[in-house]
Amino acid sequence: MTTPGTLRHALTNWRVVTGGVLLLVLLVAAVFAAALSPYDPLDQDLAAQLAPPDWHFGRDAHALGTDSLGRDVLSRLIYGSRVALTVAFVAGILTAVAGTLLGLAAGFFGGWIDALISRAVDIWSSFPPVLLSIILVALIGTGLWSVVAAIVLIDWTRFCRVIRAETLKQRRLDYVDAAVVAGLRPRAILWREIVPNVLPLALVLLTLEMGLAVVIEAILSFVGLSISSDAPSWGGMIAEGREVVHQAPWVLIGAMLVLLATVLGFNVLGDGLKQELDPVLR
Amino acid sequence: MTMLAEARALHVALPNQSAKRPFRAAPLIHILHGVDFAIAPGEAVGIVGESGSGKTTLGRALLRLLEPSGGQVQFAGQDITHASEATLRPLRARMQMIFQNPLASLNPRRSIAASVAAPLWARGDRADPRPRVLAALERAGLSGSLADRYPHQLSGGQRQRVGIARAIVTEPDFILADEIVSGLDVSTQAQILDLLRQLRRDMGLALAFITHDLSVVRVLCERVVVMHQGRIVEQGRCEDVFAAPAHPYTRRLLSAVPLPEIDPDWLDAEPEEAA
Amino acid sequence: MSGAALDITNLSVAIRRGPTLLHGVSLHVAPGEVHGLVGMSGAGKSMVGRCLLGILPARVGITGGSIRFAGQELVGLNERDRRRAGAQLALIPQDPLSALNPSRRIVSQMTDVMRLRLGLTQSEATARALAMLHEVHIRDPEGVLHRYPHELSGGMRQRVLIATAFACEPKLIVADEPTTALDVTVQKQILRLIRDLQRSHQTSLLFVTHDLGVVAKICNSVTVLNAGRVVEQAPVAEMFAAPKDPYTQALFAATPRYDQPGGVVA
Repeated sequence: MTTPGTLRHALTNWRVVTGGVLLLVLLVAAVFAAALSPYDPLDQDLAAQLAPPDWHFGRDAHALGTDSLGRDVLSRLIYGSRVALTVAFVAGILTAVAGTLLGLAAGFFGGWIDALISRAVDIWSSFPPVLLSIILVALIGTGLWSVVAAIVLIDWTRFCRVIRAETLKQRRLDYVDAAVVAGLRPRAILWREIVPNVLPLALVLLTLEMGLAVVIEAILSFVGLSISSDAPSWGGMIAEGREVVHQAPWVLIGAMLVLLATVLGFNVLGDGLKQELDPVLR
Repeated sequence: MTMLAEARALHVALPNQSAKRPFRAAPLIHILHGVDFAIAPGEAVGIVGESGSGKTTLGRALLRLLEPSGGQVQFAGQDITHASEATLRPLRARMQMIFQNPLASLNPRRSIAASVAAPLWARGDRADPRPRVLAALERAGLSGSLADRYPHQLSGGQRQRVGIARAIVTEPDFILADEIVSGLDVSTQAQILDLLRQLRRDMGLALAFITHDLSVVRVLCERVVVMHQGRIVEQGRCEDVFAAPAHPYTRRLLSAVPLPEIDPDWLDAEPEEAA
Repeated sequence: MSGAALDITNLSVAIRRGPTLLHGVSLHVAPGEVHGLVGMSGAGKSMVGRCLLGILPARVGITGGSIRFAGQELVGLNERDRRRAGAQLALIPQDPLSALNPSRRIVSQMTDVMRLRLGLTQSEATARALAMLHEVHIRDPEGVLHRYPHELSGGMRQRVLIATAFACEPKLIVADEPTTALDVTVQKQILRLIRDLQRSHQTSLLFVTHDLGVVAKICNSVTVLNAGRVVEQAPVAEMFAAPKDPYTQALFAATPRYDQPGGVVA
């Protein structure tokens, strides 16, 4: 699928570099959270409730301030990236795999397989997604994995639709007929001819989906349907920050900026990859 | 002489998806109405007709890219009318196709070498294809240095030569060429036609040449088949048909070809028909 | 209304910071004449028509020369004067499907131009569109007016575009390969239609094509372009009797004819 030199060429694309750097910073924060955080994110310091940001990096200084329970905002933001990235990668990849496989099957085989999958997508996507996720989480209980399950169950239809349309389009192109003339088996045509032409689109959708998953997780945290409220997550911090926004705006602002940067990173990376992976656009 | 590829009383009907109603099978459009066609080993036959005449459908049925609804298709004496893809696979290396749009018929993400090697790979040939790919490219008049390029990096004429290289890499007996020079300007067209004549001579290929351009047929083919509304209305040796067309439709077709010579009466030679 | 003379002198066109596409092209179209512009793909023949109509692609610009049409210099005109001059020009495009907006009915696409150029009201313009469809021999013109482009055949779409081009009584029409996408029998009808309308409306015509056969049948004079340069310019009868330039001779040699045994010269 990749042409020689794709990677090197991609590194000259500012979108890919910007998105990649943003996400790399986030990844480092998530992996080395324990080493990078100045405090334990759960430690309450009731003597320093709603302390403003303090840039004197001495003992007891909170660089980005504290929340209403005196917990260090910077540490909670760093640990919160673990939740965000877990959801982004696990939910994103599962959604992509499920949606892509179903979309490929529907587009390539057509007939009753297509009819079955397409009708399922139609019915599925006619439910309001936020409502659907709230019902799902209510049914299977709150927690990180419920959020992941909810995202996959809701968003596979998005992939399925787009990948099916793209597969149909590719299937009608002459090079697929050329492969039949060459004598390739249907399975080989699907994997050797069609998948490489559909995969870049799936990859671009995946990056967008990851950004979206972070937002959905934040929304579910905000309404208290994600992980428990004292565990650090950005959505939870936004919810808490909203209540004290007049006394301590830094709680809300910090979490919102990090969320914004993450989603922006995924989207910019997706746009860049779209340009890089199209052999003609390059 | 035994025929290489043959169609007998061929009927083809395809579902009309745009007229499909929910929960019903799509209505059929009849495209070929009992076509008899045969091509001998080493022969070049032009299949001419206007859009909608069924010429491409006939070609595709001969290669079994679509399944006929009636009649029979034979290849090398074997009945392949309803043969499964698995039965057809060993025959595929012997019957190849060159496509009208060379850009669309090459996978944009595969190198030229990979596209040309596909028919070898498909017949289960796992020996290093590189020497044969390079030989086929050279035969098609392309430098081996293009092998690692991608389709969008080539010119239109070069892409068409890649399509030809892919069609000859398995040394087939029969090649179907579907409107392969219609997008090219006359000088490139002349080069491609010259190449095909040379390949026929060197490889003993049988060539079915689908086109709307009667003049091109005269350059390349011994025999011509004229199609109109899903039927063959006339066939014969090129010099006979073009000098003395028997069917009124053939006459009308020939009289509509603007030859590069001054003829002040030509435009008014036939009564105007309203569209 | 009669056709107007077109004088193109030393026209040069280049891609910005890139190669030159036309190298000092000169040609003259007399009033009421059909002038053929022949060349292979990439010869720059469509570029000449685009300069005239002011529809050059992005990053392509005129670098020198002059285009005098109906007594007016077109090179260097500002946007407003250019639009006014454009009222006397029209285009018959190559691809009749992409030249029509797929989501609007024929009637609104035809009348738009007439209301703008001729200042007609909607009902006057509709009446004129109907008359023009009659003139291009479309059966059931009332029905066609209210159809969408995809509901018409290729030949019908081309007739609609020809009717639109002639509807505003332009003094010169650029026909850019108008029959390339059509079957031969339809091509002949369309060529005849263009010739008949050109005569009855006394319009000048710049006919861009790659097909020497088409030139022979419809043009009075011809310019042959190769790689952005004029290689031969002559009345049609003269050039077809004895092409002078080696490039023109090669074009003739490479054009196959059904009435002669094949002798392909590469």
